Amino acid sequence: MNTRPEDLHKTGMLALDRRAFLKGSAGLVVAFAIVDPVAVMAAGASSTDSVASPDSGKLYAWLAIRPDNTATLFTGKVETGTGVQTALGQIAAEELEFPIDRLDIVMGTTSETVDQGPTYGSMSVRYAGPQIRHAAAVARKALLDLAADRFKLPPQQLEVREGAVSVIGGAGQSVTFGELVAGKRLDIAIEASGTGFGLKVAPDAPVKDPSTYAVIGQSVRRKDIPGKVTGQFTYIQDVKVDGMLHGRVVRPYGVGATLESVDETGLKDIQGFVQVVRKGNFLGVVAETEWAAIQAAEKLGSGLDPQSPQAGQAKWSDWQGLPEQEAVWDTLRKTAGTNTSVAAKGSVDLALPFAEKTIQATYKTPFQMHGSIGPSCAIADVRTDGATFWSGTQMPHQMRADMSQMLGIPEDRIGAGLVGSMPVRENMVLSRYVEAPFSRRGWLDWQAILDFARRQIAAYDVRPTDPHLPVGLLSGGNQQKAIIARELAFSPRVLVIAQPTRGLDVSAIAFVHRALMNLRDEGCAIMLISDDLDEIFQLSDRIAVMYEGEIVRDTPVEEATVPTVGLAMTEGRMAGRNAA
Amino acid sequence: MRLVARPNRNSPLREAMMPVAAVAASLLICAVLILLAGANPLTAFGIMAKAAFWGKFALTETLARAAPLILSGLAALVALRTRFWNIGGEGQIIVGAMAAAWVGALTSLPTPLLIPFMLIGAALAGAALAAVPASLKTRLGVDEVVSTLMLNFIVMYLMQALLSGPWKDPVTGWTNSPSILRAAEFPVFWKGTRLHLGVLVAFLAVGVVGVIMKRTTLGLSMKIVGENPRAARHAGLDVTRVTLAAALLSGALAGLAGAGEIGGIQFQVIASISSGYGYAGIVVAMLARLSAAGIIPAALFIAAITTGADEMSRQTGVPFFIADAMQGICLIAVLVAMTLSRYQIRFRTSPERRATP
Repeated sequence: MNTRPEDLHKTGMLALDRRAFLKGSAGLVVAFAIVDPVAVMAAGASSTDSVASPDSGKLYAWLAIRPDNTATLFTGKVETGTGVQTALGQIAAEELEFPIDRLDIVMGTTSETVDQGPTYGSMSVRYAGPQIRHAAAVARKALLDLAADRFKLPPQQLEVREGAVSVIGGAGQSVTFGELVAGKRLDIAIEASGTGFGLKVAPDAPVKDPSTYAVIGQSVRRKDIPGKVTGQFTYIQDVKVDGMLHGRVVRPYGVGATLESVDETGLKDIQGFVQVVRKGNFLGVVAETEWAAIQAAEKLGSGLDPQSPQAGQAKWSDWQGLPEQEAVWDTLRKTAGTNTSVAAKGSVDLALPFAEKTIQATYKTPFQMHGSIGPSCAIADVRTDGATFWSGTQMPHQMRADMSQMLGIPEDRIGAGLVGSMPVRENMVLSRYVEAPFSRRGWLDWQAILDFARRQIAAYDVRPTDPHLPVGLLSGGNQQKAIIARELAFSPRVLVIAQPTRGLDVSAIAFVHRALMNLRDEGCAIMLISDDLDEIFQLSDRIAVMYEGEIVRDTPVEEATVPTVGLAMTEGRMAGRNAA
Repeated sequence: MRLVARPNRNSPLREAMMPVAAVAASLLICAVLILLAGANPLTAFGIMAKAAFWGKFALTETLARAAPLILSGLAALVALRTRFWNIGGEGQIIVGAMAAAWVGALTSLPTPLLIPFMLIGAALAGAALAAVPASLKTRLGVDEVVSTLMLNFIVMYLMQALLSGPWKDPVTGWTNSPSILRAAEFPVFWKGTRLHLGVLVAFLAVGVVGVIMKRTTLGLSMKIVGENPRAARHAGLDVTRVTLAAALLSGALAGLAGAGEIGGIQFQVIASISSGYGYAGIVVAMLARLSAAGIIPAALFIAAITTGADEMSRQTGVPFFIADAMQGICLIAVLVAMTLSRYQIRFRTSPERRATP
């Protein structure tokens, strides 16, 4: 019942590929192509999506009508259980004069829907409603005109009802929307300005008089409920992508416990076990079958908690940082974030002394977290040419922009580290070509430079491997590898390195970490600046915390824990507050 | 219709075709101008080509005229590669010419040293003049576009003041400097032509600059500074020194162009000793796509326009200034071609476009 008009609504290839297993679901898909850095540089634009959202100024961005006289509404809003899917459907059905049970609704899939702003603040019907209402009104008018052409009659002699246009007084002379559209895309330009909540769609559309409403204001069956009750709805947790493995997280002994060691003995004997995944304090296992993953996780200690931090094959530090129950309130008070004044009128200090009666009291509310009840889950399928995300987000379009930024190229790589227009070969010796063996008395030895570049490209797995390719054409991760390959090649005595693994994939991160550790063992003094706490704890011998240009804490790593380092950062902030 | 950025680098073929397309476009536009002047463009271009290349005299004249353009083009190439916007080629050519004329008239020098000293003196003078805006830029951050351009006028009026005062030709009383000594005149390689030593110097300079840019650390440093000064600084390059070196080299090359005009063509400083070679050098460098090898055909093309335009003007009545217009149009065309080559023109958006990642 929930098939989609693929043929009518051409969208991004990635989304099309994934649609097969999304059929019958309302799962969100956020897809985009990885930005080509050169195109961006040339165009001076921020991104060039090839699975871009449809143009809000086209009717097909909002509605599609199939030959069997069923229709689809496309909206950038998402259903979070509040019923906006049904409400927005009602608005569209009303203005379109279309039976609501023949209308299905695609929500939030970024390649198929217009960005109508995030779904929050009780603002979906209020802001997205009029946008959809006006688009649907334009569609009704367009269909009426199509019918007028067909019947060779003025539109005034025609009537639009229940997804069909009929001749007033003409017995049985009628044509359905599906017949009128005849399988085509609604390629009709409509007026659209602004974005998100501020998007104005077809302001002059001939909308219906609210007194004639037949669907809006009526109680209709919720669109989202049947799928959730019958199990047809694909929750994010059920989405599968090609080559996906089963995984289990091995939880730490406590929130602040650090992972000390992992003993992988015996894991290989579990049939279907693939590997242990460790990133800082995160520990997990992946396996071909769920049962193998469960077994491996239990061996590492996932089922033993809270027996002891050393009970499983993964050893954790004993962390006792949680506050006692009686101290919860005081702890929360100390870690309080920002206070926001909602309203201010007059002065409390001036008015209180004149009050007839003053009452002094303290009110406490329990700790409440604004969070998801179920385990959070999102799926990312990142390929060399693009990426698709499934997520229970309230702002899929925003998320696409964020993901694009995250996977894209941080600007500063090309800024000072590399000369984008020059080949990898030159960039590999950017700081060294004035020295032997790359040059002698001012004469370059291109063969030596080329050999060196080839060697470093191979050693650091820079791709593509062609040393003659302008470095600006490489992906961000590979540019980073190229920089690191250059900087670490000459056994520096001192190295100041900031965010060395940002934008790199897991294997590249491991490689860089290994290279840094080797360099340390060779006696190089390394100052690592990173916003990845795990990385800092994993690599550092000493950890220093800075706040407003001053070192507020500096200890060997053995004496540092995530909470104490975090506290140092917080204290720094609070001290700054008080001073101000 | 809209412009879309090309996803990939241009192929070498497209890169090579760019100046050709630019030249073709400027010829087309000039054809309209010639038409407006009342002549048949095809006939006019035919006369120009013949006057520039047909026969010993025409060919050698074009080569002789190409010499200062080659040197001035190389000067622009070196500077532009390093992103030192040297618009001061004209002034540097003039001081080079003045230095060569001064050395060439020195009776105190042993005759075999005259010509080498003229060349060295001219190069030093050009470099010294270029050093002024270069140090202003590196020390004080003064914009070199303005300072190099303005210096052209200072040098030009200084020269004219000299010519109407202390340097006035004592024999004729005209505003030309005294002639250089007979022994200071550049040898000519082919009797009856003006293929002088300066032409050989120009062609040798192409090789020298090519080697510097491709094979030396200095050349690579200049390119890196030009492409990304931040990365250059980060890599430990002394950006100030590299910029100064490029400016000095650029000035020296322009100065050599002045020496050629004195030693091989005029034998004295005249008011129109450079007549725009400094500016034309920028056109040559851009047409050559900033490659040393491209400088020779580009300079020959510009030289051919100027030699050919003389004859064309005589025969068809089209004003000689069409040559200047053509140079200007050529520069614009090559700039447009460079920009356009990074884009492709789409006449309509096909729905499939969105589907390609």
